[in-house]
Amino acid sequence: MVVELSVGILGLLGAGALGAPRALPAASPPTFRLAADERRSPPELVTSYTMRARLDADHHSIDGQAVIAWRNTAKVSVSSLFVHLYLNAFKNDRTLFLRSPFGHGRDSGSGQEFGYIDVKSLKVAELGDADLWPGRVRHSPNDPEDETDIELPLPRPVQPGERLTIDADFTSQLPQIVERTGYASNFHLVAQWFPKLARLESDGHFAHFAFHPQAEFYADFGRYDVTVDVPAAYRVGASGVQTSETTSNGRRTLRYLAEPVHDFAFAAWADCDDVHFRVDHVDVRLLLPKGHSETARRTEAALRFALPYFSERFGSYPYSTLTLVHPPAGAEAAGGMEYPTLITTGGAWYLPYSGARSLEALVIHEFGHQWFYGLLASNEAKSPFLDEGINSYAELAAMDAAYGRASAFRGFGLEIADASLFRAFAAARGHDEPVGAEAQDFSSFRNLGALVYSRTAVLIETVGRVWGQARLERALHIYAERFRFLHPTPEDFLGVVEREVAPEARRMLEVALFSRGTIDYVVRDLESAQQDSPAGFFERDRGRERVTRVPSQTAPYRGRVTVYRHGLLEIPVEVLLRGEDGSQRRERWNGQGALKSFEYEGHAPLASVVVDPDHKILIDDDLYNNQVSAHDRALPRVHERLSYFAALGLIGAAP
Amino acid sequence: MIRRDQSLLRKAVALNWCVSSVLGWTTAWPVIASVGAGGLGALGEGDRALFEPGGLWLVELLRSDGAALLASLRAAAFLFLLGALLRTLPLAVLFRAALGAEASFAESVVSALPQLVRFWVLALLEIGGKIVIFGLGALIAHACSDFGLAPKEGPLSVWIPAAAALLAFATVAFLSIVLDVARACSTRDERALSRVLDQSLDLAKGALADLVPGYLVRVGLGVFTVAACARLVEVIDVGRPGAFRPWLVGGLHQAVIAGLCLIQGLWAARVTAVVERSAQPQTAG
Repeated sequence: MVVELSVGILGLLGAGALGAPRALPAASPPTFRLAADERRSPPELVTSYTMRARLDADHHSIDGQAVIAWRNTAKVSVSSLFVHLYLNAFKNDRTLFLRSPFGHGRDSGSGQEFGYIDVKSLKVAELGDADLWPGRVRHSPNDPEDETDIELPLPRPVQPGERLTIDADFTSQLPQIVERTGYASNFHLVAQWFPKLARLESDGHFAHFAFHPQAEFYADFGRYDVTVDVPAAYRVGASGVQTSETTSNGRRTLRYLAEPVHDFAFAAWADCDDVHFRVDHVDVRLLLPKGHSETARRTEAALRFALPYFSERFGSYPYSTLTLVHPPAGAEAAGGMEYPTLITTGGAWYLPYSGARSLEALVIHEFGHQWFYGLLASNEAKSPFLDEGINSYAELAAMDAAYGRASAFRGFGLEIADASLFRAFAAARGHDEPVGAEAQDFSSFRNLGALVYSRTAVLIETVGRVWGQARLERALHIYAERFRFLHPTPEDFLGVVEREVAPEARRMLEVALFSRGTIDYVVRDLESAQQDSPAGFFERDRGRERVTRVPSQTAPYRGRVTVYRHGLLEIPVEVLLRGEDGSQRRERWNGQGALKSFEYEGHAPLASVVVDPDHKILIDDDLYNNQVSAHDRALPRVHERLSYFAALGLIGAAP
Repeated sequence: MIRRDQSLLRKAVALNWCVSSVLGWTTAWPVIASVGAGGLGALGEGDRALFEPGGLWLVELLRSDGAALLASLRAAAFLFLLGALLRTLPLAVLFRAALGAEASFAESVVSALPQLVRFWVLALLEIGGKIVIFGLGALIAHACSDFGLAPKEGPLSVWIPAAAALLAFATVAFLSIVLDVARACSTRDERALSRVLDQSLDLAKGALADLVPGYLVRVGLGVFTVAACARLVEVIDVGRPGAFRPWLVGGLHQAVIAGLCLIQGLWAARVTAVVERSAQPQTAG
């Protein structure tokens, strides 16, 4: 009977998952519009990369040349440049990236083959063709074993506003797929493959950092003009717009232009399906393993919803192309990553049939990064919650709008929402570390995931539920428009929340993000009693009087309930008092102080008290202690459902 | 001459249903108690919250009571094994009733008691056999994946695992058929179990054309019943208000258990008939 049950389980799943997914609703427009002067136009480009990359598919290496134009945008002169050579993170097992315990990284494995970038020269035309490479500091600052963050001393200081043109010659050896980059068989994800200048902040210091497994990237906006040369059998998906393509001598040469963006990546893959479709003004391309037709269908459906949804809420998608790469089996670690106008998704072929919406969530999450990373280019290493956290909230909201309460899973008669999962992850590690910490300061990637991704999302969702969804939407829209093509900081985000939502919301976020602020509302005791008529000895004008109790069926019931607030966060909350006669009364508490008592008076005993009955405070540590009842209820559904499954199991196991 | 009394079979099916339901509830009890201890009863809507769309409370239960639930699952696993052995009694009665050798249902129950040890051995063989087949299959699949023997892309990456799974299911199906024939043979005569198994294997091989269609009908009906019920349960949705919903779903689930027991009864009768047919020439001779 195992056969029967196994197929039966498939049947059960089929009830919810195998059937055609319902059509997604159209993205509903938000309830506000910004004035024209609140929007920003594209920035002046700080850098320009004109590059040529020739892929040797047999040796998985790139022969590269680059002309990098850069301008000193600081108010002071600089005497060094910093260049990020992030492919060197995979050069040997002593680098900052690979010597870190890998369980603490984004992926649990590491490739068998190492990778590196060999720079041959970095000649600066404005400095008399001086080659900066021989005079470099040979390792990352304070880390003799790492070569991902290299200082290039200049022959003379470069003045504010002065431009440099750097001619670079380099070879990049891709590693076997580790994270975000590398090769697996004929699949190549070519990312972090060229010498990339660190961003110069306006105060004259470079935001440079070695490549840490928990951190991501930060760079100036610029113009990328890249010519990619691959074997003719290979398909290429890249950042930007393809402007030309030629084939000769068994090679294909493709040219891509991307601006304004702050990175450039491409995938080269010999054996894949290539799906094209158009959403609004955007030409979308999906490279995926052959035969994954359901994956393609669901990816397209998710994107058709997400593109208008994000554009309405966070400002229009400014580019005309988007490329999605769904890595093949064996290259899973390349999945779930974002680059300008190019994202990677992932998942096994059977995933869409499982009832889980993880593929759709991944597509929407990575696409959301086109805003919270791409257009709002915050420092991902210093403040990862600004990109991953806010984007996780955007994902949560979009998934909810698209798939409702079944945004994470539907099957076995159950519907699980993304918000429930995010809440569980967030609550599990909420006390461990500050959410707003730098990426490399987190004790593990699991903590970073739970705090930066989930907890930030749940905090923002809580802001919306408590202070108003419309206000939150407006705040996020203004934040996304005002800091579009800029490099926002935590203060920029919190400032918008303060102005557009409420000062209390900002204070709550600040404490939660930077001071390990938590909250747990608790209600413990429930007592009420009928208010009897007076009885006993009373001193009257005419002397002591003995009063005997007069029984009354109509005397009111009185009681008192105390709600406690644990933790540093102060969040307004509602308290629901229910009488046994079905009567209900809602009380409000502004959340200030350690506790608040509520008086009850009604025609029946107090039946139950529920703190936050609408689950607005999703960040509450423990939901169980939010209510107390005079009588415990039976659990008929639990009895029935578990008994049924056990009986089915018994029939299956011992026929 | 063997009489066939359909009422005996009906009573045996009813017994099977009752025992299965009671054992199901007993097996699930540690988990039910663990869920109840978590404080779910204090919620205004009781355990309806667990089934509400969004699954906030379901996920919260797994998060905060995960360790306790895991411990209760271990206890439930032990009870499950015990239940699997206890359930052989109604199964033995079912085969006795299918044979129709006794005049009354009580006599069938009494006659089934000496068969219990044999039925336990057969149940353990079946559970063990299934674990070995699927376990071995999983190990081989894992090893193929680890050593890069299985293609990861292209149509073969789908068809090879599918074919392997089908092979495993076919092997398990054959094992089930052989052991059900052994149950029927064992009910019919008193020979040693090893001889019964030998005879069953020969008999099952010889009568595959007779047995396989019946087995497939049994499997198909079982799958359809469970899947259709799951769909109906989704429609009823115990996460919505209405005290009648859990009762309705409970009734539906009991009907499914009864249906599966009935299917099992019909299958037992068919296997017994095949065994009898094969024995008749010997008796005549």
